[in-house]
Amino acid sequence: MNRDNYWSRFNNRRISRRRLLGTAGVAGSGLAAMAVVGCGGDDDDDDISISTNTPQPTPARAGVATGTATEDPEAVRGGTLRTATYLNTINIDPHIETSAGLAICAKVYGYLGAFNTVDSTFHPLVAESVEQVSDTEYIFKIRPNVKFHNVAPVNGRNVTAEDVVYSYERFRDLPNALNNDFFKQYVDKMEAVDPQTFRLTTKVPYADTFYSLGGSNGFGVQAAIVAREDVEARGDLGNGGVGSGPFIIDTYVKGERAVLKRNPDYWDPNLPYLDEWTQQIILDQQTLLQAYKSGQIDIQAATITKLDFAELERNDDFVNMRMPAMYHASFGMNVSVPPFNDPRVREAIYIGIDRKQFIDKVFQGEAEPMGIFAQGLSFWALPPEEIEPYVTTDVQRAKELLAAAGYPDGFDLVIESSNSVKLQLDHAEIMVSELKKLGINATLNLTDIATFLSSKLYKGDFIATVFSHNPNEHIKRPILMYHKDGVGTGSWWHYDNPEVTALIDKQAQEMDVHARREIVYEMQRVALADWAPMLNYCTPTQFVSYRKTLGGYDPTLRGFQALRYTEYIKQA
Amino acid sequence: MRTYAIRRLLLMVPVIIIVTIAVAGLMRIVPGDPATIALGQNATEEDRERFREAYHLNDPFHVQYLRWWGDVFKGDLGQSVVQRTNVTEELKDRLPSTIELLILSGIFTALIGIPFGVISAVKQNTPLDYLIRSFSIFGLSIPNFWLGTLLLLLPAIWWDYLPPLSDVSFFDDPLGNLEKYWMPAATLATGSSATVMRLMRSSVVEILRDDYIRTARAKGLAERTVILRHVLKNALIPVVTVMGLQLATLVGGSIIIEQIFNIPGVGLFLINSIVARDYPSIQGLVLFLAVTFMLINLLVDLSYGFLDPRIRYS
Repeated sequence: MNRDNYWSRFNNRRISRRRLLGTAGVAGSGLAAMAVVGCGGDDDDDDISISTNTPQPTPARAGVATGTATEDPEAVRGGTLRTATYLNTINIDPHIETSAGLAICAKVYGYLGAFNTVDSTFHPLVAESVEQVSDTEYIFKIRPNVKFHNVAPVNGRNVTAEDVVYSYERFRDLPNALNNDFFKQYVDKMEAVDPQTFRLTTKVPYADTFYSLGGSNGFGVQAAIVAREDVEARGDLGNGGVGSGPFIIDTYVKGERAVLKRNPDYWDPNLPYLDEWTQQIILDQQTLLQAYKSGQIDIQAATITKLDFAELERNDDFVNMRMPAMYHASFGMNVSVPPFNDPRVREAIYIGIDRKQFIDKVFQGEAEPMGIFAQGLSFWALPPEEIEPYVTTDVQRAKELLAAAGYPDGFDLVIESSNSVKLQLDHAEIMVSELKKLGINATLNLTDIATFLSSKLYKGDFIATVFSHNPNEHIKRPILMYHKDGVGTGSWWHYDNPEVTALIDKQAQEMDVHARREIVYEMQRVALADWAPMLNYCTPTQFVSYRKTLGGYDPTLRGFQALRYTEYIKQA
Repeated sequence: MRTYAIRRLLLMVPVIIIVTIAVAGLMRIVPGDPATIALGQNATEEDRERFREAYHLNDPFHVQYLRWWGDVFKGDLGQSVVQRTNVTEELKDRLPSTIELLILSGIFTALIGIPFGVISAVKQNTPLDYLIRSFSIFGLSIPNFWLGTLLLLLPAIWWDYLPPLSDVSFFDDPLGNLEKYWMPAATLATGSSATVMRLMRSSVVEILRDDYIRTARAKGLAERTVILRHVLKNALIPVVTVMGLQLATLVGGSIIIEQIFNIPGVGLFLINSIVARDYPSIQGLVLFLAVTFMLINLLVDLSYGFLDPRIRYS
């Protein structure tokens, strides 16, 4: 495995405590300098972040005017940021929508705070400050000057703690709401102590409290603050609603486009820098890419190949960068039945397949082998040297293991997968040829995605499967895939390792982020040593490109960037 | 003709019932749970059960089917379990885009297929005829999704030109609307215009050999008059049939075109509903498409009487 690459260096960077502290010191000095020369003086006395013990400070606070635009001589206040997506927006009710529509919600609604999944810091937004009184009690002070949009029936009134209580109870109780398990399982009480004070009490210490309030699920943040009278007047917020965010919905055509206009009454008078933010739905990937190249949108949103990216790199109008993606494909093994109930067989699979085949053939070399977590979750993933034994190919040893397990001549295997998702299909086809080298005669049973998910994967009705993951910005969902209770429906692999389950439960209650990471590291070590039933192939590279005329945009911050509102347009 | 039309309309009823029962039944036999698709992997079994109860998915088939018909008679085609919207409203939003696409495709088909078919027939066995026939073979052979992708990509690559991505109403901005729709309509019309062209050619060739055409020429009529006044009308009879049937076929072909050119039409809604096992949407759309198809067929049949007075309906 090639260690001398960007991701290896990136992952190694966060290991050294001396380097972390040094970086923190430099970044802190930079922040101090920005505070001196930048504007946004009203917010100087705000808490910068909560849940500290962070490896490095975030370069800019969420939703608070920083010096980004005002320090740039080419910045133009105003203008339109044009975005697009290939994902169909079903609706834009933040408590129901789980996909691309959350990008619109992030601009329209207010949130208590924004959680930066890169460094695990929480940045108050609608909340002015947050005090963690104990491991289970949080006091949020609501900013007195946060108002809902001046749109009927809310008409610009102030946001209060009662609105927060109502919003979270709605999110918890809506029949169609998803990803609300925090409010259903962990929250004990939510109270409006007074109009400016919201108290949240959890049943047990829960390390992902701040993430649940302000972290992105890979598409956006769901715990939005809504107005009761708006919900009652509209019936539902599927076609838009009144929020307290920096933008107001001007036009929303479901499945087509959204146009948002600047909120002149946003609590930070210096934000947003833009006058307008638009989102267009373009279902075809090539059309989406061409729309970017021809100047109709400002941020590239198609899933592109290395070849497409090379062409973008030749264009001086674009800022181009690579980062580890949050999605990947996996080979899942049912460990309750032969042959995968035998860890020797699982080990044989792990070391018998050549990850490079997947990296080269699916991603044209633009990917890195991975262990338990995608490299995009770099804060939590084990360093490359620790996962190396599990991603190194040794076909001879694999065959010996199979023979020892009673399969000297291999065995027949049916792999369930879907032909609707190219990523899955590509991996599945390569997997068949890789298994053949071990004497395993694998055949694919391909069905459409609906049948595959509901009849096979979610029911755990398979011996082996190849499937792909939605992007995840935090470990909350991915780690549960190794828990005996699984994600929502039980363990798809019928996996029950008490030590792994206990470590997953333990890390969920560890409030110190560094201590938590150590537990997560240990969980990964134990799971890998047990040849975990979900073999993750590799983390692909995500190719990012945006126009040079776009300033204040940091794609490495992912969902956190969406709640910073720092984008601006530069003079062409 | 009136009796014929009424009889045809009445015959539509059993056909619609059979079609909707078949589609509703088949969709429920096909593996795949709408609740699972709609709610995703993080939903618990309780979430899914609650979802199924909310949308009556646990009721017996005949109860679901009859309830759906009850809603249809009230003008409600059902509630999309995936889009979480009303199917009727969704159709109303999407139908104008699909109709415009089909109308423009039909116009392109007629404008290209009919004149070039006539020219090819009149200039039979000349280089011009061979050229036109080559283009018709090309049009029949080429997959429209490939052509559409090329039409979209090549101008974007060469001239940085892309048709407008946002949908705009013809009545608000006719030029902007046509700028968006002309390319997908032309793409969709490629195959159908090739078919019409070939059919028109063979029809005209056959009619040119008829005695009354020889008589018309013998009377000294100009060739243009012979073609336009005497040949064309009779040659159009089979062509009108095919064009009417093609209109229905175009709906299926429009699905991919809608995706490539970003048109929020009915075709894309249908395919997404099938993938997601959105039973109410599928049933509503199939009902709509079945009625539309049968009405188009009826109109085509009735148009014979206008085109050929010899045709009487028993």
